[in-house]
Amino acid sequence: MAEATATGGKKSEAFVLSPEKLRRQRITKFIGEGVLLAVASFVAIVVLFIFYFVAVDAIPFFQQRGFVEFFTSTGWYPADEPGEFGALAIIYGSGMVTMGSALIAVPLGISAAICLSDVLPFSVRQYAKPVIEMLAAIPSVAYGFFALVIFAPLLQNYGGPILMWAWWLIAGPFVFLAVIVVGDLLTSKGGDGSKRKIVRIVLTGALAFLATLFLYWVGQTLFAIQILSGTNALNVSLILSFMALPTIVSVSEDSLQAVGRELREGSYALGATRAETIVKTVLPAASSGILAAVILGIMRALGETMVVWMASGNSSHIPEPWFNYLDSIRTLTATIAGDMGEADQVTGSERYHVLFAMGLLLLVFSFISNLVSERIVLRQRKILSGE
Amino acid sequence: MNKSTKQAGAGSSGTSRRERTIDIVNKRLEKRYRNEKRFRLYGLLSIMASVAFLMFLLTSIVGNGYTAFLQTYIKLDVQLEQGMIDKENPGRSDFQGIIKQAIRAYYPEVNDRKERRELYALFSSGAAFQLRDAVLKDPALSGTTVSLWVLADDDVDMLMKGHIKRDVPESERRLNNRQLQWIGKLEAEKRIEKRFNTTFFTAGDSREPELAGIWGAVKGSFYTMLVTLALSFPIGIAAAVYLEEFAPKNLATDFIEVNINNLAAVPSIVFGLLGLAVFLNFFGMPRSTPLVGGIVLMLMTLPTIIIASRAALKAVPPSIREAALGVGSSKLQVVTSHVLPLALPGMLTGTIIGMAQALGETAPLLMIGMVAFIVDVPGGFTDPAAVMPVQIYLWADSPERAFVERTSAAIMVLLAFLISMNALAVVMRKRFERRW
Repeated sequence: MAEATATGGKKSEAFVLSPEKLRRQRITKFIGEGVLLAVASFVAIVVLFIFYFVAVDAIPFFQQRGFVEFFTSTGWYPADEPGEFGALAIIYGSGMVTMGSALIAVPLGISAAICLSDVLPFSVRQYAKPVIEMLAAIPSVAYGFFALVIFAPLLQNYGGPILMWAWWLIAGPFVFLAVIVVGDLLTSKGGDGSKRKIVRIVLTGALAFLATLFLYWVGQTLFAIQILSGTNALNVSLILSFMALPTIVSVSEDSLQAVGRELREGSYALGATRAETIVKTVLPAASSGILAAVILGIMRALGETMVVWMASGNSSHIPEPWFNYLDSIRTLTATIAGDMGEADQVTGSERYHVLFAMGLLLLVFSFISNLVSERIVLRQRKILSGE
Repeated sequence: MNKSTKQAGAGSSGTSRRERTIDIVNKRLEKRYRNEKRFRLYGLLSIMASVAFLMFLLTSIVGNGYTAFLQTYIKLDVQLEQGMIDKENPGRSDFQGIIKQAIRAYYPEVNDRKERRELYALFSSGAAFQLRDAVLKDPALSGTTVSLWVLADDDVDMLMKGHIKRDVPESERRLNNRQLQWIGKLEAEKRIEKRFNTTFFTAGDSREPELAGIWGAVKGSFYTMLVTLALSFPIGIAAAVYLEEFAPKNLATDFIEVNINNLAAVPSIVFGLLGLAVFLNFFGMPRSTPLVGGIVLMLMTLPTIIIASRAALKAVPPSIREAALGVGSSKLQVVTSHVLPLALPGMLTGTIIGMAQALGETAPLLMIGMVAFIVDVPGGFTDPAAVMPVQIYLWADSPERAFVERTSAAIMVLLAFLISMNALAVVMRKRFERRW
């Protein structure tokens, strides 16, 4: 026994590291890990750093002017002496374009994601996905240029016809679908076979006629609209929706993919068609992930600067009536980008600090929605893997 | 299900029961298939809508911009008499005057002062510089007659490209009838033609569209990207390695992870605010320089690089780490000599995509003063510079029609860069991706 250990100890010098080498290795390990930890925490600290520095420059504004004017007044005259710093209209403008772009991007994005993940064959998907991702690769200033130089004049010159066509294309199918469904529902009870059929056809026909009249009337009303300026909330919302689209598509596609094959196959086995499988099984399972995608997409639209600065008209008022998307608006990001050039010359004034207050508002909002969306995704992952 | 069986039961009195059920099922099935088709159509339509939008965007930008790659030149016979060129210092001769004289010699019939001014306006102010360059290059030209293709003014350029219509009333046209006549003479003698626009690729910014180029912005972008890459690549990879390989599962790690995602969610304009408040006003770094721009963009690209790098590290199977640990290497050795080399292609892919994002970013750079009008091509990291997206933004704001086409052309150049970077990333992923 003793001999064995002795020989073992002798041999160990050959391939077990000497104490000195071991120590050196431990030091390298310590330093290496320390450096890595430092770098990783640097990244985390950057966020706090951003928060701190934006807040430090925002607080003087609130100290001097309080919160009431900033959040409740629409008077934005920063260059006056004394200036007015009511940001309500600007906050409203931000909300308006974000809302508008979400209205377009969310249905479009979700149905595109479903189509990519469940409907299209792999060969088509291979090409469709990079095309949608390309929308994300285009720089925002190119979108801004497009909105300003190409889309705005188009909207200004052919606004009415464009609106009418959009109305027919978007509302038309829905209205006719509704007509068929209502016709079905109204005649689903009572009467037998052929008689019911006739009643249904007549009823549906009458409804369709009314619906066409309605569509036509709204279409003509839209046709008659003269858009005074092409740089308005509608223009910006449309462009922003296509900028937010790739985010929504890729995140919701990920969450659709995360719903395993088992659920889909179970549904198919029960005889469901693909549409039924997706709507009744896959979508509910992926709903939280899709919600997170929507939040991220909305954040993308809210934080976008160049397009709104170039093409929203930049007039800080709440449109009349409040849902008038054909009016020009001004957003938080555009105000920061646009006013800083002048405000920076007078560093220390309220005019400079109010822009940081807006930045802080954006920052807080983006943090909250990011945390919420992350929580949602985490919960979905847990539920899907847990069961 | 319930409904159909009930109906089948109700109808069973007369006809055969089995047939009725099948009928109902078939009918319903038909409806369901129709639904299915409609459903598929919606998905396809939404994808088509985005593709159509992309196509519209690209074609309108290309359609607006491709003409900027050509530029109108006018052939001018310049008589360089002996006394005209300063012998001692040829670069300081009155080239503007010589050009004007040459123009007058070609149009001897124009005598009125006002008309002469209109005539000179057809030629770019850059013509004098062209002549100077030619003379400096070859001093022997002095005393001879030089045939020089000089730059035409942007209005003439627009006319030749058809953006200024000849048939609109004179008052709505930027060139009057007399000027059109003079141009007609040039055309008749084949002294005016469109050539490849080298100025666009070699010059810095200018107020004159025909003299403006993107080279200054390209170089500015290059320096900015260099700063961004030099900072964000090592930091991003180190952070990813720490989080994936070393980090213990505790609150501090969670905090770091949450904050990396938060960093990704920060609106880009806020990074600009930070750059302004910290780097310019607090540290007093020089304004409008690639150095500050690069640092700000570094903060923006970090999350992209970290997230991609972590995915790449995750893809390396644990068996490799275990094998390396099994033969006695330390944790650090495992990472540096086994995991990192295997994950590097994925990390590089993420870095390229992050760089592409940074290259297209405008808003934060506006905040740190990179929006200034800068004529000189930057020569280093602390020279004032514009970057390509900012240059595009500046041109998009200019009223001249010639700047519209140059803006589109600059967007095309930027897009070419971005798309090739993204394509490179895709190719690299395909090429080096390993399935274990």
